[in-house]
Amino acid sequence: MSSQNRHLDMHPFWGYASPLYSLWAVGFLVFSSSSLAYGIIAFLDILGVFLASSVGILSFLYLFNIKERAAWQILMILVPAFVQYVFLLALSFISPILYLETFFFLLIVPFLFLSSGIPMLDFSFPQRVVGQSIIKALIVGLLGLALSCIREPFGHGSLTIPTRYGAVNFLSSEQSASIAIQLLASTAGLLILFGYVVALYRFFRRVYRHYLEQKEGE
Amino acid sequence: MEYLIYGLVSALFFNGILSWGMGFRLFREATVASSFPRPFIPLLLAGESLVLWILYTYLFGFIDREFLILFATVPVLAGVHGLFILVYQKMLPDGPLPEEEKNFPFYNGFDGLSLFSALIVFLVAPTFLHALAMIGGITAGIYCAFIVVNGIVRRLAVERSVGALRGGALVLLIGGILSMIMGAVGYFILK
Repeated sequence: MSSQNRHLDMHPFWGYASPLYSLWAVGFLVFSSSSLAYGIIAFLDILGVFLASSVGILSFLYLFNIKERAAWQILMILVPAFVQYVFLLALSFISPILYLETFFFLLIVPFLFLSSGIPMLDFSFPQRVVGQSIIKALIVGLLGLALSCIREPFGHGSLTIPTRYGAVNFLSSEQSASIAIQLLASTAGLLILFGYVVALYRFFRRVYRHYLEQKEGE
Repeated sequence: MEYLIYGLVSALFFNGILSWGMGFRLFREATVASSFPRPFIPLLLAGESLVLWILYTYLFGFIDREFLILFATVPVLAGVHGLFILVYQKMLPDGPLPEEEKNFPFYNGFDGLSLFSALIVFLVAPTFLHALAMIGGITAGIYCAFIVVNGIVRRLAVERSVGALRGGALVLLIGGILSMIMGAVGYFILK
C-alpha cells in the first residue's frame, strides 16, 4: 500500500473509521435528525462528550499512569458515561421537556465514542487524540444538522429550535406540509436518504484516491 | 392477546432494520455482507435484553428509576454488553471477517443491535411476560430482516450494480425500503 493510500485510510473523514465509511453513527442519526431542535442538542452533546471524554481520559492517564488493560477499558466506558451524565443533568435543569424527549438517543453517545475508533488511538499523542475527537464529533454533528434541515421541512413542513420550553416552531407552512415528501421524516426515509449520501461520499472518496495515486505517480 | 400484540409490534417495528445502522459497519463490500445471517446473533440479543430487563426491574427496582437511567444505564449496559461480546466472539468461526470483528469488539454491528433492543425492552415492557413477548418479537424480526437483506445482497454481489452504491450504501437503501414495507404491514395489521 502506498503512503498516500495509507494516509487516506487513516484520515478522520476519508478513512476506514469515518462515520460515513463505517456507518457507526447511523442509529444515532436516525433519532437526532428527526428535527432541527434535536439535531442542535445532539450536535452540542456529541461535541461536548467527545471532547471532554478524550481530555478526561488523557488527564487520568497523565495523573495515574494507567497501564492495566482492564483499568484502561473501564476508564474508556466510565469517563464518557460520566460526561454524558453531566450533560443530561444540565439539560434536565435547562429544559426538562427537551431532556425527556432526547435522553433516549443521547444515551447512545458514550457508545459512539467507543465505536468511533478514538479508544484505538495512541494516547501518547494528546494533540492527535483531541483533534480526531473534535473532527469526528463535528462530522457526525454537522451531518445530523444537515439531515435534520432536509427531513424536518420536507417531512413536517416546519423547522424547530430548542428553547427552555421544548422544541419551538419558528417556521411552519401547512402548504409545504401537505405537499411534502413526508416519507423523509420517517426512519425508512432517513435510511434511504443516508444511503444516497454514503454513495456520494464513496464516489468522491474514489475520485480523491485516484487523484492521490496520480499525484504520487508524478 | 396483549402479549401477542407486543410480540407482533416488536417484530414489525423494533426489528433489525432500524437498529441496523447503529453499529453495522461490516458491509464495506457486498461480499462481506454475504457471510450473514448468523442465527445466534438474534438469540444473543434476546438474552442480553432479558438480562438487562431483569437487572433493572428486580435488582435496581428499589432505587429511583430516573436516577438510574441517568447515572447507571451506560456503565451497566456496557458491562452486560461486554460479557455478551465475549460470548459472541467465542462463537465466531475463523476467517478474514471474524478476525476484523475480533480486533474491534466495539466496532461491530452487534453492539448497535443489542443496545437498541435492550433499551426498547427496558423502557417499554411493564412485566416479565411483556418483556418476553417483546424479546421474542424482536428476535424474529431481526432474523427475518437478516434473511431478506442477506438474500438481496448476495444476489447483488453477482449482478452489475453501481460501484458507489455497493456495500454500506446499498444495505442502507435496502434497509430503508424494507423498513417502509414492514412499517406499512404493521400499520395495516394493527389498524
